[in-house]
Amino acid sequence: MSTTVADSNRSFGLDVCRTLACLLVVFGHMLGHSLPSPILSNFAFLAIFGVDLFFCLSGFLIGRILLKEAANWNVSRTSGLTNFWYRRWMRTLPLYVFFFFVSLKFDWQGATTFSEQFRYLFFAQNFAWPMTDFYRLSWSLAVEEWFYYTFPLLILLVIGFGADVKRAAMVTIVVFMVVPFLARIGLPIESVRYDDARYVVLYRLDAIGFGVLAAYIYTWHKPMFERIAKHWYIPLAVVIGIIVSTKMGAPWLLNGKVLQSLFFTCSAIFFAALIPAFFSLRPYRWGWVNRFVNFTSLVSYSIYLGHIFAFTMVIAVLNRFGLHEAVYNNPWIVYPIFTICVYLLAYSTYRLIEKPFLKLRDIDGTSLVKFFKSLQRLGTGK
Amino acid sequence: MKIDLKILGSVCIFVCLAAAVLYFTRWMDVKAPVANITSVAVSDQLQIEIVSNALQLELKGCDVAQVADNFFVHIYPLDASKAGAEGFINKDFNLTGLKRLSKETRSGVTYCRYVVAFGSVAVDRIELGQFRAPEGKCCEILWNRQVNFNK
Repeated sequence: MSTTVADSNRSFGLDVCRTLACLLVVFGHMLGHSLPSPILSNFAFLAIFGVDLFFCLSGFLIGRILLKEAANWNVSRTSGLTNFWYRRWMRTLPLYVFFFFVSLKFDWQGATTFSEQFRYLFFAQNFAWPMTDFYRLSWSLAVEEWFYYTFPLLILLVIGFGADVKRAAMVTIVVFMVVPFLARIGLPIESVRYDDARYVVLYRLDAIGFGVLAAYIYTWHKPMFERIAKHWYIPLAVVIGIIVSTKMGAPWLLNGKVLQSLFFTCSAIFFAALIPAFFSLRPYRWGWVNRFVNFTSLVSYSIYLGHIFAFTMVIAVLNRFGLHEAVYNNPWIVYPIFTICVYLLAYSTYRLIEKPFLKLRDIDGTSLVKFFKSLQRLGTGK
Repeated sequence: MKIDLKILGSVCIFVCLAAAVLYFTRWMDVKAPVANITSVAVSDQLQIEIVSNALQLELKGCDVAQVADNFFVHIYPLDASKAGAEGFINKDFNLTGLKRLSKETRSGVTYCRYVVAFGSVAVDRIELGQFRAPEGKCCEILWNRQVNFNK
């Protein structure tokens, strides 16, 4: 999703993490939007854990940037914060807004109107209430955007009260662990509605918060970070346990809101505890694996937002040419077609939307003047 | 510790801005619906009026916990190209997630009203009902009703 670092700073291990999260989401949804065999359909639920992993990764990456930048906020004050927001929004909003408008016409659930759905532009679709099925994927973007907005704001507030960045970060992380936990207990989550809570911003902010905790440990307690990486098998075993118990319906069967809320918290803690292990990974000997990981990671945000549209597009084309019965019902044909179209669409939107805006955000005032002057010279034929 | 009032002031402005955005996007009015089609009495507490462009729900006693199960509304547009990949527009909702349109008291009993708009599409028919997902397995249909708009 919205995880990025400059190319020179790319970590191969985090690219692996991003690729894994992205593929879990895409293949989970692919199974949910097709007619898989009963055995395969059992794995569709893994998509939700792909997003959980994305949240922790996003928290770790953004946390590292934020903790570095916030060190100067007692001097730069609001300008440091707005600069952080500007860079985040230039990274995430263009593609989000593009797919919002595409959804108005081509959403999986059917066409709708701007006036009905305009709240999606303000990420108000699921702040503390369940969202509709329109542009369904946007739920996680709303969680991320509200996190980008509120987390640094709280850090700045604590800095405003005279704390240094380390203390401000710790206070903010604790608030972001406790508030969603309490909200999940205090606000209505009935056992049959456990799954609704997963898609509500206020209930999920801690998932990214634990990612920032990993960044905090990395920044100020590196030996501990390395110890967690060394004992990677412990969080991995717990994560597998969480996935299996979810498959067996555990979160829905838990009696009481406290236990259900705790299930979310444990899930976030142990997914975040995998980040140090991913971070320590080094490139493999097989070059094609590394290239695949790098490429998928690079276009992962486009893949995430665009993959359902790729499915819709394939199905529409199959219907138009009368191939639906023959292709859609055959997993050996439809899944490769889905996969290729997902990557093609993702690459196109990355090149045409994401990349130009990423370049634009890095242009400073002087470069912008030079850019316009060169355009002027071009116009006069010099 | 030295308190920086400029920082605190800026943070307050940003918090107010976010609260205002949430308030106006969540609590904007929905357009008034038109021609009545039919009505469904779901229970003693809940009555649903189906009008040409929306569902109007009236909850006696205003206790949304009494209606915990999700509703499904499948809208089949006259122009089939406006339907989703499943052949209809899905408008699943839960009463707890809806904003209340109004609250009134009649003969000492409180009634809450909610609206679920169909959108701007011309509707051919709708399928309405309630479902639950026991242990996360979708779906056990509790009741359903089909309403044709072109009769």
